[in-house]
Amino acid sequence: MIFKGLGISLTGMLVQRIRMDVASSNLSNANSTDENGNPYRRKIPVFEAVLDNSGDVPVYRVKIKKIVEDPSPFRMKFDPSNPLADKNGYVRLPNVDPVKEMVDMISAVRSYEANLTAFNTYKNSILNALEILRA
Amino acid sequence: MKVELNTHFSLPGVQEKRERRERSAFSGLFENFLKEVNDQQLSAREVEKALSEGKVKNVEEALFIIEKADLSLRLLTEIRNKALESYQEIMRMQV
Repeated sequence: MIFKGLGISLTGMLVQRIRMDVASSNLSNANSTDENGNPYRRKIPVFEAVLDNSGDVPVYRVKIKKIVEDPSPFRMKFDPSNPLADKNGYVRLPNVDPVKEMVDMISAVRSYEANLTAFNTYKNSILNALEILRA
Repeated sequence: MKVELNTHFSLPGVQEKRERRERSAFSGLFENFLKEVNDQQLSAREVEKALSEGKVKNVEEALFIIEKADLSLRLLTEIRNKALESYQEIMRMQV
């Protein structure tokens, strides 16, 4: 099928967009706690290659397998006046590093653009091939 | 589509029959393609409607469907132009 390459680039774009979603979720919750008073845990999307064997060429689509939580320890901040502080006066804050999230976001945007460029290149080559008929 | 290269003289009836069969093969092919392109156009229209109503969750998928419809329509137009051109070329032939 002629649109297969377009579909593959599409799954890449989709996955990178979800990665952007996850990065923005992490970024916006860099200082928040959930309803039980526990700090927000950083989320990490896990990608999976899925074989698409319907044509002659075996190609792989990409999909989000699952979104896991970062098990690394929470940030500790000395703030005895905080109502969530423990008996030593420390408050647990989410294990999100905003700088890291920003970098992840940039990487996701660039990957999205790469997939978009692949999509457009594929489309343009099909259009160029159609020019043969016009001549 | 199979192109027959056999140009032996044969009875007019047989010749005509074969031509008719070939013509129907092409028109059948073309008709199927036309139907497919039409279906794609319809689904693209639905997607555009959903897009304008803000109901689309998956923007990339929507764009893909629209692009697919666009490319198919372009191919259809080119085939139609080519077929018409060939027809006109034949009509211009001196007998």
